[in-house]
Amino acid sequence: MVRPVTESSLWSKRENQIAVSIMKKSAVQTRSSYNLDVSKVTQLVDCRALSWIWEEKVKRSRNNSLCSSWCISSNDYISRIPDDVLVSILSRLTFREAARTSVVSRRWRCLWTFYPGLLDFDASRTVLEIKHKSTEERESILPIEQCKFVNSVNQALKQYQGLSVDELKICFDVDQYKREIDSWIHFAKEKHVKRFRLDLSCTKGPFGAYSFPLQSRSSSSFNSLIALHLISVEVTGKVIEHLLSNSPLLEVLHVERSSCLGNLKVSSSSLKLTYLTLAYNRVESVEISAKNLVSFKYHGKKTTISLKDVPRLIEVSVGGPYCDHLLKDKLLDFSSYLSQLEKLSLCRGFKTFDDYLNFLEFQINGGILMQNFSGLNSLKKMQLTLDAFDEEGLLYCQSLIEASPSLHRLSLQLRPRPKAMFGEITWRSIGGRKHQCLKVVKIVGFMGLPCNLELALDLVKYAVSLQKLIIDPRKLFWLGEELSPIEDVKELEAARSHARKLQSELPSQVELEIL
Amino acid sequence: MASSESTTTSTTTKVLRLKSSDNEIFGVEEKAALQSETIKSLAEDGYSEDVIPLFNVEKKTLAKIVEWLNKHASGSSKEELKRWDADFVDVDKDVLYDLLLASNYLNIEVLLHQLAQKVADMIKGKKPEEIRQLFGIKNDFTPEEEAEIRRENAWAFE
Repeated sequence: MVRPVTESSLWSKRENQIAVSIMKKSAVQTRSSYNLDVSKVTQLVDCRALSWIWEEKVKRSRNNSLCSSWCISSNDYISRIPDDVLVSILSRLTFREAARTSVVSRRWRCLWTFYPGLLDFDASRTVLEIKHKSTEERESILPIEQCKFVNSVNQALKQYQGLSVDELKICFDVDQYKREIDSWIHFAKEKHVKRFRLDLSCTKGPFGAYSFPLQSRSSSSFNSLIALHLISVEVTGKVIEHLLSNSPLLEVLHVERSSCLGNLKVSSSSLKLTYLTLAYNRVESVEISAKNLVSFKYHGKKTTISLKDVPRLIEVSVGGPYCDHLLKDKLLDFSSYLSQLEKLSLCRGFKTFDDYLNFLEFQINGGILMQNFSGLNSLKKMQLTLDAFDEEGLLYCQSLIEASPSLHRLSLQLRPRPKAMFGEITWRSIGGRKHQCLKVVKIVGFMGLPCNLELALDLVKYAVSLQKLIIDPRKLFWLGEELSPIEDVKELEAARSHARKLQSELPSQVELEIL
Repeated sequence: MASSESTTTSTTTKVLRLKSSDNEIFGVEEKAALQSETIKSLAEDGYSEDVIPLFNVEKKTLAKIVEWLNKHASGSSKEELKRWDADFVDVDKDVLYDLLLASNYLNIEVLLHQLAQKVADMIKGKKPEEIRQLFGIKNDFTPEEEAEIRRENAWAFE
């Protein structure tokens, strides 16, 4: 406890001097951190400091409080709080919520326009909802929603007064509004946006019609950008290269569904790029040389990927036809980096029923497919997504586990099988040496079929150090769909009760968790 | 107890003197006081021997601020601090405003954030009318003006 010492003295000249100094310091420091123009503030501070002192003195002489120039009622304390603090309070609300405070009173009218956080115009949910409607309905709703969306963004950005924006998200099917999107991108540059997500996902096709502009004026570039997500935005390899060389802080780059990526070359000695995702683009070749790259994800068609210089790469995720190609090729494209990978995620392309029949025929004719992978020495986490009847995929899975002596966590994601599917697939027991390291196995999309149970029990036997088996009977989301598929509650319950049967067959140290 | 503590600490560590607007002086250990950016830069400018006058911080508020500074310089565990902080900001509105003003004035970032979060939590999910009522704010717009602003910012009211 501190004991206050009372002194009865008037404010000395020295004290006034110190006090003004305090006010300047505190005001300049806090204001500069809240998005306001410091040069303007410093001019104001002297006046404010003096008026505070004056106010203090009058207060003491009259022993009552002053009514300030804002016409603030005597018990309205909150409105006396300085702008920067009120802005800081608003920054903890959503952008929309902050903007609604504009009608509280004059004092509050423009505070929200300095909101420094996430300017959130993410209507991707609406896109999904519209997608699921009938063509007729869609054609009547979409133009109205598009117009509403564009007006919203324009309205808000027009009023925005802050100097910099932390994050901007614009997500809706509005790719035909070229001029507006150009102006939003311009805004993002002007406001030194750090994180920018432009998602023009269409309700109709995979690709959009808006082309991301090549930076023309050197005066405005994305010089503060840390993360960039472009989805259904037409962007060429050239534009990406240009962006990379003009955004020295860029760490996260995600390009999804561009039909004109072409040849992409990522390389520069000063690149900060840490996370790179390329998904479902039309791309001919990818060449990467990035010293700081930690994570690389590629989903889509077969392509040539060449990793030149990625010494820090530890996480790889591949999906779609390219994944199948990569597995057949024994992970050749990544061969120089296999021993350093810690996280690997493989998502097999969709199989048709014909694929399955072909595979069966291949097997019946004595075909041997076993790929012997090797050298995944540092791999700790592996996730494999495949169709529930993709026996070939399961064989790859076995071989991958065997090649990963340090594997700690395995997640198998089984995509639901079509209703017309018949028969059973067989899981061949993993032979040879037991796995010493595997601690957690998760099976997602568990349907409770005998082959599912067999698979789970075999993995338990194989992984002698297993501590936890997680069974998730919920269906996997389909690619590109974020709405969950309609769950059949009965089916789910049946799968869960099948999963509970596992309990009696598990060794005592293995905990069973059913989601 | 308070006096013995201050005598033992004053021999080993420097104590800064902060004076409230109603002329009470609080001695605060330098280490605790320097959590205020404002005091830190004053100390750097050579004012640390002076009594530091805080014109718009009254003694009841300054006492709370000093309590916070001491607690946060005491080396308590993260969990304990979290609990303690939650109790600390759980105060009446007028105390909350005084603390906000003072922590802004003294530029104590961590405390300012805690208090701002507390006020934000009070505003969250409320309609403009409810915000006015909560804080005793007078609506100084004419109905026409209010309607105009709602139109201007229609996107936020949908």
